[in-house]
Amino acid sequence: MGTANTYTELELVQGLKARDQQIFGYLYDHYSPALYGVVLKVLNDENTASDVLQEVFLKIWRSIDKYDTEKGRLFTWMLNIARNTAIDSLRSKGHKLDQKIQELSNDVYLQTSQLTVQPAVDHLGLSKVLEKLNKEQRTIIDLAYYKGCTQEEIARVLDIPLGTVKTRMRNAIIQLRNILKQL
Amino acid sequence: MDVQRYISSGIIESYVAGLATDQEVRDLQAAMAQSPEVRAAVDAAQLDMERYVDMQQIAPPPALKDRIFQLINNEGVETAVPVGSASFEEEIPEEPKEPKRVSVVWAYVAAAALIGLAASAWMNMQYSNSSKEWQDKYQALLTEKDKMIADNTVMQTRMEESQKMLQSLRYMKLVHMYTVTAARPGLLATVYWNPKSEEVFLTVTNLPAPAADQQYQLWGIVNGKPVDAGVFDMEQAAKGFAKMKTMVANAQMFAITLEKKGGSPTPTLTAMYVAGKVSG
Repeated sequence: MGTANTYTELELVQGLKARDQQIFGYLYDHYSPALYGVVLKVLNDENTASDVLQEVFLKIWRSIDKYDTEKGRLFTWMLNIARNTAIDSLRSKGHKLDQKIQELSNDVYLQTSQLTVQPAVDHLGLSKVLEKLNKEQRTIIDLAYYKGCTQEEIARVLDIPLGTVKTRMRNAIIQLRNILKQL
Repeated sequence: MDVQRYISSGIIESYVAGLATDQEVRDLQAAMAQSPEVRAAVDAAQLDMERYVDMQQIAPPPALKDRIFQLINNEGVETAVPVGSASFEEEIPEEPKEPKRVSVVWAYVAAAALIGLAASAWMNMQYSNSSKEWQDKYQALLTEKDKMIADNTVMQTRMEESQKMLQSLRYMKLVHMYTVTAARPGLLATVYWNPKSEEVFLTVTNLPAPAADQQYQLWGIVNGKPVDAGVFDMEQAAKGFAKMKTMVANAQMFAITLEKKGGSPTPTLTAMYVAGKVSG
């Protein structure tokens, strides 16, 4: 017991389904920063974010039986739980569209010490990505993913016809893909 | 279905970014089931999106892990209790040779449970005591905060008054009032008067302390007639400035008389202490 340092995704899922707390601890250690990043970026408030992250991990623990390996990877499933829980919490606070834009443009957690105290994060190449995505590309991805905006809302923010929102999103993600390839 | 056209429509990217409508999600899931090409395109876009999101990771507060484990452990106890005790009872008949051991085990379990219960009761008491203590402290802090806010408001009002007075000082006329009878030499009080705003402040340099039932009263002399400018508190006027009643712009003189407490409608001229002419 406790000899394995890494687990395959299948082992993780089986461990969780068997209520193995050691596996759950491993899962927490490895995935909580990514999930917390999502939750914090959605909510922009550390206090609510840690409550929501707690809820996210309880949901993972309680509903692992509902996770189906056929449908997608574990990380995708957990990210969806984190994003949906955080956006639900954001909606319950009744954030307005311009508030969301405001929060994204002065994203304190991105610009300040958080990044500098965690050099590991930058090894992942975030600053390069942010540099090379233009403002519209970042806005369209972030408003959709982190703020749960609809196509109509994005059309309004970017001042583009509703019909072109999807193609702009495609261009943004293709650009993202090109940047990621170069890292 | 034109797979290439579908793939390049942007619906896949919108889906992985969480932007697709419910109808679009259903369409896409149907397309994924039909076409491995669509499925591969979705997986690739999903990976891009996840890498982007993963890059923005931030370590959560360190205390959170313990909190979560505490919660799932409590959950574990609740669900494990009925299951555990049922299986334990079933095991007893399977071990008939060691009935004594079972009872010893039970005794330990019971003792442990009792100790646990007592400890929990004690902890509860401790918690409720300390929570009461915290509540009191919190209440005290709240009271203190309210008091500070009130004090602050008072200070602010005073500051504003001082500020206003300093500003109006530029437009003020100074009227020095000196001793009027040789019997009371060396007395001095000064009026600061703004004829425009008609504001009057008074400062006392030297006046004898009045008796307990008496008070000094300031007068302006307008066309030879005394006009009441109010009584004042000696302490305040001797230390700084006393704000008096307003005085019309055409006053020619100011004077102070000693009157009964609360002041008189007309001045007692025999008790006039100081007086001074408005210059210019």
